[in-house]
Formats: sequence, C-alpha cells, structure tokens
Amino acid sequence: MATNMAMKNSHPLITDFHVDILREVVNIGMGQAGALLATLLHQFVKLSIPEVSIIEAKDINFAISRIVGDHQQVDAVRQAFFKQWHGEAIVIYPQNETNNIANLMGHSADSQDLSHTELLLDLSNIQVGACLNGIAKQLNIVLNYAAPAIFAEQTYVEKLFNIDDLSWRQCLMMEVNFAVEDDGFKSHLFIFLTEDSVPSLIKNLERFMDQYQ
Amino acid sequence: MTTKVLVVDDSAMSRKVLIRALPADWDIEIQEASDGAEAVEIVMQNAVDIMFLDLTMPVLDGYGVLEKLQQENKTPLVIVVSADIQTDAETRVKNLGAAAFMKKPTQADDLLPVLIANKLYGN
Repeated sequence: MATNMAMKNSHPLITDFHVDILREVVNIGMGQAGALLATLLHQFVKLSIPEVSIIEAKDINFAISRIVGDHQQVDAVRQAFFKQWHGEAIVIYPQNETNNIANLMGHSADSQDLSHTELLLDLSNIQVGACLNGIAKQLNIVLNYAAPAIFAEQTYVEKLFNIDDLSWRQCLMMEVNFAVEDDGFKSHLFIFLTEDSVPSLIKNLERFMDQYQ
Repeated sequence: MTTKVLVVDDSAMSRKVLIRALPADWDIEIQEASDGAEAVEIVMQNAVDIMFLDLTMPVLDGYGVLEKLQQENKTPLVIVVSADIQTDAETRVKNLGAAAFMKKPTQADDLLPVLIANKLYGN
C-alpha cells in the first residue's frame, strides 16, 4: 500500500525511533480491534500494517485519498477523544463496500433492526474503542471518548475535510485498515493526534520502553 | 550445540522485546530479519532451528513465509508471535505448519512454557 508518504523522515515532531515504537503499540491495538470485529462479523478480518506519519492540515484530503483510493465515495464516522491526549478518530467506509455492512452484520440476529447509520456508528465505535483502548492500556494512559457521529455520507474522499475548518496546522496520523476477505468489506481507521499532544505521547512511549531496558 | 534462532519482525522494537524475553542462559545464536522475504532468504542460506515469526509485515507477510517454507521443504520450528489475535489467525498458521502461536507483546512468562512444551529449552 502506498502509505509511505513523503512526510516520512521529514518530521521534527517525532523521531523514527519513537515512530517505530508507536507503530508496534498501534499494531497491538489494531489486533485487538480486529479480533473483536472478527467475532462480531463471524469472518476473518485481514489487518494492514499500521502507518504513522506527521501530516499538514493542507495535505489531509490528499493523504487520505491516496490511502482510501482516488475519486472514491465514502461514508465516514468521527469520534473525538480527550484527557491525556486530544484528537479524533475517523473511520472511513468506501461507499460501494459499505453497502455490505448490513449483509455482513445480518449474520448476527441483534443487528437486524438497525438502520444503516446505526450500523455505521456501532461498527465505528467498536473499532475506535478497541484500538484506542488497546493503545492506551499499553501506554498506561486514560482516554475519554465523545459519542461517534456521522462525519460524511457519500462524499468524495478528496472533499472529506474542509481545510478551513481545521483548527490545527499539523498532526500525527495513525492509520490501520480492516478488510473482510471474499466480502469486499473494508474500513480505514485514522487516528489524528493534535500537535500539542505529541510531546506527552513521546513521554508515554519512553516510559513504556523503560520496562524493556 | 548452539541453537540457531531467527527473529522476524518489521518492528525493531518488537524484535528487541522478544529477544529480551528469551531465557538468558539459553545457548542460542540470534539472527534478525525485518520482513518475510529477508527471513526466507536467511533460511535458504543458513541453518535455522527456530524462527519467531510476526504476521503483518511488508514485502512478504508471515503467512507467505510459512507457505514458502513448505514449498521449499525447509523445516525450522516456527513460533508465530502476533498482534493479530483472531482464532482464525492461529488456526491458519498452524495449518501452515507453525508449531505455536503467541500473542504480542512477548512476555517471558508466556514464552517459557512454549519453549519447554516444544522441548527447545530446559530438561
């Protein structure tokens, strides 16, 4: 996957050493989210290699469209988190494949009465919660979450963010994706950490590494 | 005789964590690989007794490594060390010949029983 964008190595905010640790921490969080999804969907969920990069606000739509696919229509759910870190998680569902969510979740009886929107919110909440909690638990920090909300529906990925609305100049982006083989279902989970939270992230990572010294 | 161990993971940190979890008095020689293709190359050229194998890796993933080892009739004992903790992942790698499946992060307390059960360490 073409996620190794030009930003790599060009970010003074965080060193490659810390990025390597963070990727592994995200990897384990992703694994926990994937296992939960697999149980829920009764399917094997294929996991990606997590990527971490520093991203400029003006490049965000470009960066995401490179990952999700150019000219792709998507639905997206957003969930803010706060306390020791601040940021938000966005789960993006390529739109054609999103239509399979109802089919996928139709395997479990209790999801049959839910609307498409409710399914999206539920599914997103599970992915964000499991992944971020997995990360937070390893780093021994606490995060609180806002309720998930629909961020975009059937929107071209290039227009996902309105750059003028963004309050930050650059942020740290973590990216993982989940795919169900044979079924075409795919979701992309992006975690954006504000620039202000990066110094505390680095402290958390160093304390985490101390146990292995 | 010194046991040849190969640690395969794209994360340098993860390799370090694993190596630190190995018994200190175990008579081994450790090699490292940062992707599956590199791992296969090392196995083809050197004697490897035990391979600790990550699953999600660039170039060639852990499943690919196991398939390749089967094709090439190379039989190091493979212990999969994975962040992917789906039951299916464990079933799949065992079907591909892996001897054991361990969850990340690697803890010495989890590792020791696996080494003993596979008669790799301790008597």
